[in-house]
Amino acid sequence: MVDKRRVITIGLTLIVAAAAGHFMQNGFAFAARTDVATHAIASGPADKSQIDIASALPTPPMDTISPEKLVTPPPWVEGRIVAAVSFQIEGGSLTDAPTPLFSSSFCEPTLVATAKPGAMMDVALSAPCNPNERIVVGQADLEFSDATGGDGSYFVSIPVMNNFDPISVRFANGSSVEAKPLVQSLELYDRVAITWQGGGIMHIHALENGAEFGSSGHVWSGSPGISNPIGRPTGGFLTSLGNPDVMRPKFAEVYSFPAGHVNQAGAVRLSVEAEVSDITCGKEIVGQTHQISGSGVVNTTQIALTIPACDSVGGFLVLKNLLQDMKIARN
Amino acid sequence: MISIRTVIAAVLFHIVLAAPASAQDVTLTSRDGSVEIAGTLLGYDGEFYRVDSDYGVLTVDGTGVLCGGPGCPDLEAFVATIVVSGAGAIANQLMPYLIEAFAHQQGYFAQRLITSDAEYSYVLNESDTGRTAARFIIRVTTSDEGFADLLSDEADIAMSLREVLPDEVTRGIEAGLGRLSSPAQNRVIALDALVPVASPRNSVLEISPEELAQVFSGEISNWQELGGIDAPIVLHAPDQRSSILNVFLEKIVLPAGRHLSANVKRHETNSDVVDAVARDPFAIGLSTLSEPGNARPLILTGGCGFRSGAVPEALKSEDYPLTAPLFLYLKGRRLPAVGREFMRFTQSPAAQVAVLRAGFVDQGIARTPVRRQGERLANAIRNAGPEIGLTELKRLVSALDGSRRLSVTFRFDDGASTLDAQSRSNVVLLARALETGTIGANELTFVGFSDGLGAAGANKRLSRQRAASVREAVLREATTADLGRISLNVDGFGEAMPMACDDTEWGRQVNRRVEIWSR
Repeated sequence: MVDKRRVITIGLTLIVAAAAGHFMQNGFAFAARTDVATHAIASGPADKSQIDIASALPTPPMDTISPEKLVTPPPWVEGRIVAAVSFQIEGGSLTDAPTPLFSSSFCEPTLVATAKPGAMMDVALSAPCNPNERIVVGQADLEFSDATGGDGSYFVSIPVMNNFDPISVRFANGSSVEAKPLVQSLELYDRVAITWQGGGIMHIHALENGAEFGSSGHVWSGSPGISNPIGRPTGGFLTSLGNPDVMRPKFAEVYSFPAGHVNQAGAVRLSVEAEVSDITCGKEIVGQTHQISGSGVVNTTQIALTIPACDSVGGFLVLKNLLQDMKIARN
Repeated sequence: MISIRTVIAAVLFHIVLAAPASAQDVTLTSRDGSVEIAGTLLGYDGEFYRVDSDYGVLTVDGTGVLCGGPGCPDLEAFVATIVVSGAGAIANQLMPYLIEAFAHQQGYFAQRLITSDAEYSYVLNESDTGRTAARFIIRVTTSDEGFADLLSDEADIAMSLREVLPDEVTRGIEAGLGRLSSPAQNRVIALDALVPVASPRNSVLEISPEELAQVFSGEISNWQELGGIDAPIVLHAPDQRSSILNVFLEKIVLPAGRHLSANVKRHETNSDVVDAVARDPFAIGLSTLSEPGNARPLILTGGCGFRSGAVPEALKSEDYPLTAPLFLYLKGRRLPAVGREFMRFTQSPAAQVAVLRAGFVDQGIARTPVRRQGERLANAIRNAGPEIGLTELKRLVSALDGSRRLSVTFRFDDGASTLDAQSRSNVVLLARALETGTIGANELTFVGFSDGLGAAGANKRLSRQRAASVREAVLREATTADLGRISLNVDGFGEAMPMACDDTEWGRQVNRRVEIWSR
């Protein structure tokens, strides 16, 4: 019973969120793009109370981030989030807009990013007043879309492209929260990514050290490898990001190779496959390729792929030259 | 109606011999109405109309005329389109970096449109207005097909890993496309090199060009003969259309009077070659410096103590004997303005950054201090004898002392005094550096060396003459250089400091050179 109502509520919220997003895009597109007022980053030294709160929390497993660099949700927020959820399920009327029951400081979303092995970061969002909402998560141009849970929280592990572009979560109304990336193993990993919009399906295929399709060393979303192996990494891994169930989906696939760990010169051959489906056939998929050159600068190229005509539905457009092969120099 | 002479006087034009394309009726009228040219429009590049008129094919400056008739281009919506066709290594690896760097420098927003691996394009939009300013269409083919597309008017620029062939030059002249071999119609945009590769599991690390010729002609068929284990050698090479294979045949196999073995396994691309070689410990293959893949490059030895790895400085100076420049070739017809800007960009410092990112060797001038030339001095001492005495060695050492060798070096085609393609490009590079004052030296010496054939005295005279002629060529090109700030000297040391053995043609070619020493 509760479940059913919950589904209805979620569905309605999504529609409202989508409509709001649509309005924002068309009505306040300019304002949305330049909006910085709602950033909730604690830049510079945090005030005393915040440090106290942060140090009261369990220490993150990898001690690479100092608490000053992050915004940590105060412990009391969590209890109230539960209240917010129950409000949505039990008390919310399906026709009424949610009443702003909480003060703005309670609604203020927070983002926590924690460094992980594999030059990854765990990103945890707490946005009690933004449940079941479409969000765009990313770092600089490398973005994907997903949705917050019924309690306004969201969690994802993302590969970091560099340590200077903030990791951000953007909400339907154009406001966003940011967290600073801080990954110490960044220079050990070579990275390449594709991002795209709409209903298409694309895959990066990486052939490591002369591997052939289907053999070990062939890394793709069907055989993604692992980012945190026990011991020294010997191969790369693939991260697929984005949620096909949200409106106007944006996807990202990131391939990471531990070049700094692999003490052998060589090349990783990279290709991209785009599925010819009855949704995408004959159409254009718009996206970007992202490749890190030395010094951590991400080279982003705007791309538009023309998918073959609908008589080849079920097939794949295979592009061997869209991404440059990774060249691994001997350390 | 006025006579053709008046037309010639009234409008800027030149006559181009070309086959008429699809008929489009236009009438170009000068702004005061005094001149009128009717005909079929062959093309419009944003500035100039090309019209097949009663007077032949005319190129007419668009600013001086008004266009009337159904064939007129939409001037507001005009987008300069530049078709570039040719070698996959340039098309796939280098062009994306070059075009994106060019777009960035010019303030354009670039989008890459992809339909297949055989073709892609870049649309360059003005960042502020969003108006499309230019479109580059890149056809991924081969050097041969690039020239064919250029000659049949289907491409504006050809990408090639080899120089234009005499036959292609003739066909270009016949088609009214100018002389493709003339300096105005081609540019070296980056450097690459042919590199022999073997499996990382193979114990053989070095090979001489002579051995390489014997291996690929089938005379040496077992690794034991190269100091490896007792196993047959498996040969891999790119297919017949590959320019790299042709460089190999011309420089290494054919001069030795040999032919390529029929047992060579052919592959479509260089990456296919290196991948196959990497998998087989008994394989040897031909690839390039830009495509080492998972195989290991073999160091080239000269057979008598000289060795040369394919490192950037050795490619820039052509001390590595199998250097292969990357070329762009143009028709003898003006490109749209954005195309001309792009060609100028390819020679700029910003383009060299893009070249390095793409994995090729740039054309920036590097300087090597004398202390890093120990091996060359050792060669000179090893080579000393009755013909090169202590006095000459001392003169060489004192000339070297405190100077730096520039990476620009000049080499000559087979014994003649004509400069090879990379050296012709180096003449322009050095001239530009003199004009812009970026050399950072007070004194440059053009130092000639020769091979060891013939008498030492004659060789010394010949090497000095070559140095003088290179100096002349650079001065002719450097028209705006301030020669009050830098002195340009000439010297010659004949066969005193060889870089390879003289017993093969490629070795002699490496030794015949003019180096530039700066102080």
